[in-house]
Amino acid sequence: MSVKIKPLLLTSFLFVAACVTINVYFPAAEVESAAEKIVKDVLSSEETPSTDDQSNINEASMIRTIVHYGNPLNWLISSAQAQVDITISSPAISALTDKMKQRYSSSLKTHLENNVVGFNNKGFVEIVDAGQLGLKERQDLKKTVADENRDREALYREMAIANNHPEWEDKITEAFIKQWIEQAQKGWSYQDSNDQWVTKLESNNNQ
Amino acid sequence: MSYKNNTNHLFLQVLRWGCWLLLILLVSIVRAQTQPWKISGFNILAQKQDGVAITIDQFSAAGYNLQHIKYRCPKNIQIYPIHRCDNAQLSLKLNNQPYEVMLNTLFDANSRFWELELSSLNQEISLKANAASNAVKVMLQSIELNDFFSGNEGVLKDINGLITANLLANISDLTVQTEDPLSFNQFSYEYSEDVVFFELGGQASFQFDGLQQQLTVEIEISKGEMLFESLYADFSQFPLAIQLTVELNGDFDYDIKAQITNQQSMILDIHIIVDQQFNWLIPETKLDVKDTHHFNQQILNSILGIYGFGNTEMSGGFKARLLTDDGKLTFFQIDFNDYYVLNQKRKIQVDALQGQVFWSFKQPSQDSILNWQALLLAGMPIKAAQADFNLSKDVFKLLGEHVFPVFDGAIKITEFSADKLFADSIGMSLEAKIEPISLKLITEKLAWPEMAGTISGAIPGMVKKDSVIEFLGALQLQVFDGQMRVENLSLERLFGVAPVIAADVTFEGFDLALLTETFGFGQITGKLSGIINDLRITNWKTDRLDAHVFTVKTKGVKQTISQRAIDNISSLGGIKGAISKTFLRFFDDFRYNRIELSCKLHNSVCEIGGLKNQDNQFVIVEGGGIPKINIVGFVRTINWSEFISRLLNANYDN
Repeated sequence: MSVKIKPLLLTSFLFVAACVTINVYFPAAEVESAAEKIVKDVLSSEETPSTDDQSNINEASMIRTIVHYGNPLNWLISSAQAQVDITISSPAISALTDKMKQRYSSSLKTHLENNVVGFNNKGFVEIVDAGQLGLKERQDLKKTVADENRDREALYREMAIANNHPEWEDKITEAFIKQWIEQAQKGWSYQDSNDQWVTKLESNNNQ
Repeated sequence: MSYKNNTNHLFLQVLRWGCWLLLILLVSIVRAQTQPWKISGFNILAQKQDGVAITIDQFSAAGYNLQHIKYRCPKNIQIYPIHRCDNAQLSLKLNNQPYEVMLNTLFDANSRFWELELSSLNQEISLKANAASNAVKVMLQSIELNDFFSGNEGVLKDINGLITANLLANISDLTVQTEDPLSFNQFSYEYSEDVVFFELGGQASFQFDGLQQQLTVEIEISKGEMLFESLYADFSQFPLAIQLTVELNGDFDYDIKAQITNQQSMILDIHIIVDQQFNWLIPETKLDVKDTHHFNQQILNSILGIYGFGNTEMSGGFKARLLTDDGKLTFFQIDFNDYYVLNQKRKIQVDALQGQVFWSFKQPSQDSILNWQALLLAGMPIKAAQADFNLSKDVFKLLGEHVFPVFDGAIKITEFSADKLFADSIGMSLEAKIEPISLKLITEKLAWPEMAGTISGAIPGMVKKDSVIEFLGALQLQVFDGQMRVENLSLERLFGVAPVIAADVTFEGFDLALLTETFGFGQITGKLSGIINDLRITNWKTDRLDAHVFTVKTKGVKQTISQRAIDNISSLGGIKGAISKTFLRFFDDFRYNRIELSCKLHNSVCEIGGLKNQDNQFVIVEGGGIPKINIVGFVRTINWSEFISRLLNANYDN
C-alpha cells in the first residue's frame, strides 16, 4: 500500500465513523427549536414584538445557528439532520399547550411578573415568594402551580412519545428548561444551575 | 424522630411571659411575709409639692430580683402606719426589663391589711388584690399580643393580635383562670409562607393549675383564615370550637389533647406531644366527618384541587384514625358511611360506599371490606359489589375470588395482589377474566356507534411504573365472533391530566356482517383480520395508530359487499352515490375478492393505503365475479376527524 493511499483510507475511516455518529444523533437543535416554538407560543400573549431588527444578531438561537452551520462537520451531516422532523402538534400536545396558554394568560403571567412564581431549573414553575398574596390566593396559587407542572411533565413526555423516542424525555425536558429561562421576560425570577433564584436581567429579544 | 416546630403554644407563652404575671409576682412577694427577703438602698423622700416617694435599689425575695424600684404618691400623705394613695406610680426593672404601673394603694400596718389596684400607664393591664384574699384579678384591655412575645422571635415570630380578658389568679394554689371568656381579635401569626394564621377572632377561656402544671383551654374561632401547608380554612365559613388540655409529661414534654369541632361537619381529636423547644409529634389523630359535603366544600376540595382532583363532589360521612410512631404513620383506619364521591373530570364516582379500611405498617392488619351501590373507575361502571382485601405494610391483597358486575357481564378476579405500594414501581399479580359484556352497552357509554356482539377474555398481570400501568402479557378478547389480542397495553395518568391508553392490537376472524351491521354501514360479509400497532388514545380520543385491516378468505364464508357499503366506502374519498347513481343500482350486492385498508395516523392526519399502493393510488376493494367492482382511492392523506366523521356519521342515504 502506497504512502499516499494510507492517509486517504484513514480519512475515509474517519468519515465513515462520523456517519455512524449521525445514526445515534439526538436532534438537539431541532428539539430546542421545537421547545422554543412551544414556549414562545405559551408565553406569547400580550408580548411586545421587538422593533430592533439588529438585535437578532445577539439572539442565542441565532448564534447557535451560525455556530452550527459554521462547523464543517455539520456540512457533511446536514442532510441527515434536515430529515429530522420534530412533532410538536399531536392532539395531546395541543391540548396540553392550550391549557398552559390559558393558564398563563389568566393567572401565571401576573404571578411571574410579580415574582411570586418563577421558572425553576427542572423545567417547572415554582412559588418563589407568595408573601404578597392573601391566604386564599396562596392556596389557589398552589393549585395553579401544581396544574401547570402536571401539564409540563405530561408535555415533555408526550413530545418524546410523539416523536417515537420515549427515551428522549429527559433531553426534551432539558431543552424546555433552557427555553423557559431564555424566554423569561426581564424582571422574572428563575432558578440558575446553582439552585439560586435570580432575576432575569434582559428579555429574549426574539419574543 | 423528627420534631417539627410548633406554632400553637401561645397559651404556654402567655403563662410564661405574660406581663400581668409580673404584677402577680409583685403581689406574691409582698404576701410572702414568711419568706426571707432582702432590701438594699431603701430611701423615703417626702416633699410637700412632689408628694411622697420611696426608692429601693434592689429587692430580692422568692428567687426574684427587682431593681430600681420607685414608688411615688402624688400627694404628701403619711406612709406609716396607714398609707392610702390614689394614682400612685411604681416603676422597676426585672431582668433589665423596665416596668411602670399606676396604682391605688391602701396599707394599714395596724390591722395588717393592704389593698392594691395596679394598672399599666395605658390602662391596658390592671390588677386588683388585697390581703384578705388569695385571689388576684387581672384585667387586660385590647392588649397587643406582639408586646407579649417581643424578644422571643426565635420561637414564635410575627405574632399580632388584640386580647381583652378578665383573669383570676390565686396566689396560694398557683392557679389562673379566665373570669369570663376572653376575646381575641386580629390574631395573626406567620411561621412561614405555608403556615399562616391571619386575623383570627373569637373567644377563649382557660384554667391553669400551676401546681399540677395543667392547662385547660376552650377556644371558639369565628373569624380569620388559616393556611397550613395544603390546608386552607376560612373560619368565618368554617368556625371551630377547640377544647384542649395541656399537661406536663415527665420533666420536659407537654401532652396536649385537643378536640376541634366544626358543629356542622366534623370532630377532630388530636394528641400532640410538645417539647421545650416547641417541637411537636402527633401520636394519634381521630377525624369524624359526619357531613362530607360541607367538609369537602370548606376544607377538602382545596386540597384535592392541588392534586388534580378539584371540583370533587362528596356527601355522606367517614371516620379516620391515624397512629404515628416516631413521626411516621404506622396505622390508619377509615370507616365509610353512605359515602358518595363524584369527579366528572376524572371519571370517578362512588355511590353509597360502606365499610372499613385498615392499614398497619408494623404487623398484618385487620382485613378490610368495602361495598358500594355503584362505582365508576376511569369511566368503567361497576355495579353494586363488595371487595374484601387486606392492606398490610406495602402489600394489597384481594381476599378470595371477586366478581364485579360490569354492564351485563362481569370482571371476575381470581387473584389480585400488589406489592411495593409506596415505591415508584408497583408490582401487581393478577388472574382475572372478563365475562361476556355486551359491546352495545360499552359503546353506548363511550358515545361511540353502537356495536353488536360481546367482549370477553383473560386479563393479564400488571405492573405500575410511576404514572404508567403496564399490562404484562396479552389481553385476549372475543369480539365480533373473532379473536382480539391486545399487547403492550398500558394506561398512563389514568386519573390525571391527558390520560393515555396505549396498545398494540391484532385481531382475526371478525365477522364483517356483524361489524358492518353495527355501524349501519351497509352489509359486507366475510372475515376481517387486522393489525393496529402503536395505538395511542389520549384524553379518550385516538391520537396515533398504524392500522392495517384486510379480509381473509375463509372456507364456507361468502365475500359480498352491498351496494350501500360500496357507496359508503366511496364516500370516504368524497364520492357520493358511486353505485346508486348508475345502472349497477339494480344489484343488491357484489362479490369481492379482497378488501384492504390501512391508516397511519400521526399529527391528526391519516395516511391511507390499501391494496396495490402506487403513488397516490390504492385499491380498497378488489372485486370478484361479474359485475366486478373495484374501489380505488386517490387521496392518500385525510384529516383523522374527517375520516372518522365520514366513516361513522355520514348520512349515506343522502
